Amino acid sequence: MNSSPPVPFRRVAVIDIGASSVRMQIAEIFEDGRIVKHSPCAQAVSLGKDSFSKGSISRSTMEDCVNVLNVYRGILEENKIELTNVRVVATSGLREASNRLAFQDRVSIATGLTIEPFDAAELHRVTYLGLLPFIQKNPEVFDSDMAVCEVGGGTTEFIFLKQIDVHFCRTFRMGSLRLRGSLESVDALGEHMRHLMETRIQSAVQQIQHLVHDSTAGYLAMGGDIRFAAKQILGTIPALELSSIPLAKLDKFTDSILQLEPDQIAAKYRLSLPEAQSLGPALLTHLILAKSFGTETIHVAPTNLRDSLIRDMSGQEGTSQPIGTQIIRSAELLGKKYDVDAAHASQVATLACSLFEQLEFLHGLPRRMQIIIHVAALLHECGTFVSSRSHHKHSMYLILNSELFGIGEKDQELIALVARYHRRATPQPNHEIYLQLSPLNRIIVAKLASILRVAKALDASRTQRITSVTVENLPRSLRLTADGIRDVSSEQVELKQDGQMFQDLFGTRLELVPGKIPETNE
Amino acid sequence: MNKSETTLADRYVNRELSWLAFNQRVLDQAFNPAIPLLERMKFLAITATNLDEFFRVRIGSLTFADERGSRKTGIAGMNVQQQLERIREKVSELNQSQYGCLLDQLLPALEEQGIRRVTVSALDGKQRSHLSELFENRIHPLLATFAAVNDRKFPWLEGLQLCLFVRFAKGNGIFPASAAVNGDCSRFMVIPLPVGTDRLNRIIPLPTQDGYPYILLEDVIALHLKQLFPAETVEEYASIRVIRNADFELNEEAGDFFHEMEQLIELREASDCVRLEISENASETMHAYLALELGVGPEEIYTARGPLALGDLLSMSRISGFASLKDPPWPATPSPAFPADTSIFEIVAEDDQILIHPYQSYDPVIRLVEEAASDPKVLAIKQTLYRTSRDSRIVRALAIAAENGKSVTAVIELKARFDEERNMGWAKHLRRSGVNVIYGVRGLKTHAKLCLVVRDEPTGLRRYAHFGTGNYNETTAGLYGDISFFTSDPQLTGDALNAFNSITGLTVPQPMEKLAMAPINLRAVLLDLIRIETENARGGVEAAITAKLNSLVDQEIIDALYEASVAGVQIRLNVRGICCLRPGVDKLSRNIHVVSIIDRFLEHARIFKFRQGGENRMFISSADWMGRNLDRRIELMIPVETPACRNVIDHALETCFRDNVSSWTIQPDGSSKRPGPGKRRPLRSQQELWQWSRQLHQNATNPGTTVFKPILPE
Repeated sequence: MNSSPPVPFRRVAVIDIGASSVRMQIAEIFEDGRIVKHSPCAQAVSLGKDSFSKGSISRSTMEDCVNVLNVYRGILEENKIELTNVRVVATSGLREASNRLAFQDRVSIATGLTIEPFDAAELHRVTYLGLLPFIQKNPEVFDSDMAVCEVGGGTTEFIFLKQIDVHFCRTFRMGSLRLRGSLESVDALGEHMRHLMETRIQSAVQQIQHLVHDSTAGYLAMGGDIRFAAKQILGTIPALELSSIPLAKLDKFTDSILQLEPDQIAAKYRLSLPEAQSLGPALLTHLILAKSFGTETIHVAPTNLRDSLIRDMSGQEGTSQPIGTQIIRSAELLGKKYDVDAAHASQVATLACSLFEQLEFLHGLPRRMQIIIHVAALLHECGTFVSSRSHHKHSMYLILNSELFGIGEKDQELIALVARYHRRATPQPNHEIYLQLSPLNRIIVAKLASILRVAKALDASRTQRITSVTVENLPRSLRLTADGIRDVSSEQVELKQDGQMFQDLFGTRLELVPGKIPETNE
Repeated sequence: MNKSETTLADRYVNRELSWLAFNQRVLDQAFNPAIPLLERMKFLAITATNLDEFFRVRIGSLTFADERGSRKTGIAGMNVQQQLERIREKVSELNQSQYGCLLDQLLPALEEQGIRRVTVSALDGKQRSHLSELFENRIHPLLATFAAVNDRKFPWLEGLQLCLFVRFAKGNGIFPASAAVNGDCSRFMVIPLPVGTDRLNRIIPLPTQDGYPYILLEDVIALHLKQLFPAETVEEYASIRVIRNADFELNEEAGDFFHEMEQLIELREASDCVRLEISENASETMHAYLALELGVGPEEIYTARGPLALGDLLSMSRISGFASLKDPPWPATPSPAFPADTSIFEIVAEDDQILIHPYQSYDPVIRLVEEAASDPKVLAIKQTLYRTSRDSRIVRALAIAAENGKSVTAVIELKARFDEERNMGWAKHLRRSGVNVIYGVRGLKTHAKLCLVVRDEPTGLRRYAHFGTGNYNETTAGLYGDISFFTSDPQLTGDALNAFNSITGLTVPQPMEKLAMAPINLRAVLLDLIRIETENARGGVEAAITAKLNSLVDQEIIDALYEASVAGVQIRLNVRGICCLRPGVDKLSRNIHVVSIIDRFLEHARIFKFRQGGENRMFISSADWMGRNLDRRIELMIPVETPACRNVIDHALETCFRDNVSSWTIQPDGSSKRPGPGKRRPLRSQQELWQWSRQLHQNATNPGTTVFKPILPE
């Protein structure tokens, strides 16, 4: 018998409220990095159908969801999973419903579960996270450019990778259910239906081609529809490997599916009706997109949102390394677009992150907040692209209205506000966006902005001469030592002004002192 | 040869005729002088109960179809009327044969051994007074339900209920005359015999100095008719019994499923009479009267030259003593893989385990549930129950588990034919204990045999599954040949959980890794497995299919097997019951060989082996190759991959084909022949397997030592 002590683990569950089904996956995340999945569940609901056609979720659909979630709660209890270890996310089906808040409240009251509405950026981040194991396993596949696409019920998520780095992400309001739903009213059949769908898909293709310029790239598809097609075409598909389908075969299979009515598909392949409804449009979208990149085969990744979320939950508190890198890269690209002084921005970011880490005892914020201050530091001056006057305000709205890979709506708001408060006025009662934040988030913004100001003061010379500081917590002050710098007088002047917010907020005095000069053999 | 060149009758055997051929094989055992006398009596009784069910279900549905004017044809192309005609012919032969066996062989032979039927006239005084006392104290109180025949309504005769039918003399008795029979003022009385569980035994032993004299219950009642009806003159009496159509479909769309089920049971009791059995001493008057009142045609009346309801004679095979007239006992041996002092979970966590019942004890299956019920690590138990025994330890353990706070789900199939009443009883009991009871799935019978235990272990969730080919029934587990497979393989148990979650409506069916499940993909997987062999044979690769099952009826499967045979696949089938496939037909099934085994235990396991280019993939299953199993039931097919387990079921499977004592070879016309051992060593597969299990047990408990170790003083 193996006598080594068992590896500790955490039992978690993710519930994904999608456009046509509510799915749950239970998993155990072991401290050695292993993830063991248990009992996947799925129930059909017509959230997307309601949202996309009527704009809101009907009462009966709402109750269907509540029933399913209550059944899932039973399974959670049976498996002794605490609600703190459960994530419930909802995608476009909920996002587009006008009564989404009522829905969230109803679910919360009836089931005790809290739904996180998932926006596009979060979806992209998590999707990339799910893709990472395959990138790490098959680097050769990702050697060239790769178009990654997942066709959902309401939207199609598109990520373009250049040598494994995220080049850009887009969400198209074009999903399999929406495609079918919008055409049902036209009463189109067979070939005509296909033609109408193709026209819609082509318009997305044009937008993508405009962004990509060079049209040749590999194509990687994700999602249940394409996995189903791969299984039918290839016989079996490995659970943990990429598989590839020749495009010609996918073409033929898609053709055969589009010949059939959804109920025929459901009967023939033993699919649920919503699955059968989405199959044709989803495959056609993949087919047309893949063709537009001039590829002969398409790769299929056997991963889904739930796998990605579990991976997300398995990471420590902060954003995991490769994802963080992608977010930073995306912020740097945005900075470049707005002619930011990259050397200064990056130096401020380095100092801000270092301060954030060293001051943890003081600010007490979770580690994942570091990405917020990091991105805010990289972009705090992007507003100068518009005008140097009040550029902190321009920075705020530029950040609010730009696409940042992997940053969700809420975090984007935090970043924009931290950047906004890097100079001039501290948060005031008449600052509209700030006031809309929850009290907790207001404190986060204030704390991070005050740290950013200190970091900014440290590179006031814009020469990046102070590369690192060491923080010491003295009885009556906080001492920052500029490592290896003999004269810090100009920075001391800046800090007097820029450190005010920090000193007020944390109730401590800041002092900057020169560091020891390392001895050299001159 | 393709389908168009042949008629359906050339390709397939009619299902009902094939079943009758099976029952004939069972009857052959009753004629077999090599079998102990009381066991032969048991086989005779089994043919009778088999035939009762055949009438209730098969004839019932055909009669119903005939009345509706159905033009549907069976697999072999016969229409309903043609089928009914042929069946009646065969049944009549079978009945003659049954009574021939009983009256000309078994009863005289038993009499020689001292077991003798005593008629009323032969009773001695002591016996008469014994019976008089018995009648007064035990029988009369149970006869309260007899019904007079009056001019308004013929009394209700319950299906399968043996009755004494009495005619009183004309005149002024207290009972009114029946106006039904024209002009005749005969008066009748129906006395249902209180035979059955918790009631009386049909065979009543008599006090004696030697041997085992007995009298039948109907004779005892007849003896006391005067006592029952002091004011009447009994003209005549006869035994009668009706069989009613029991093939009703449940209206599952109706709201209250439980209530529907109760109604179905009532409906079955009230349905059409498809057969009237009557003893040969009944007069023409009685015949005519019954035929008229029950609405049966002459073809539906069977006049028996001996006692009716031969199924009751089963109890004779259980009379105490007379060991020489019975099979020597073959008690189940404990499997050495399951030591009593080791937890089932520990054993199964270590390795997959397989048991062959009834040779190996069923105890580990019960232990699995019992241990789970009180194990603090167990989170959940999920269990299917189809036909359960009367006082089931498994059911009790499930209730205890629920009371101990475990999440317990029981899928109780209320639709298990003729067991509905019992199943509903369990269902209520379990619900009261807090078990989450599910009454199966709409439109589908849950026939899969599955028990799943989820444990919260220090290394994470771990699931333990028991997959079986037989029901969770402790009584039949000692009489049926079945397989038990225990595993904690994450994929198999994950699939099992998916199966459960979809049966219980927690999820839409999820893709399975290893299991095949009907009606989702079992048929497709099976056809694929056959097709692979066909393609291999065509490609010159050695290809073979070996399978053991109860019934082979499904046309698509049969066609695939024919195709495989033509391609050169060597196919050996061991089919206990119905086989619509015609084996050994040139250009159709030359490479298919079918055997059937009838012996002391009911062959019930389903084991399949596919050569797969030498890989020899093996499966066990709850499903026969019938349309109902593949399309209208929840069934499972489970791959057995652990080499040690595979070897065991392979041994069980191959032993069947070596049997030359209890094995019949199915002929191209569907009839069967017993080849016998000839010059070979006689080999009886059930005995072989029993000895195998004993040997296994002995090897483990008494490792053959050749060196003696003396015990020395300290």
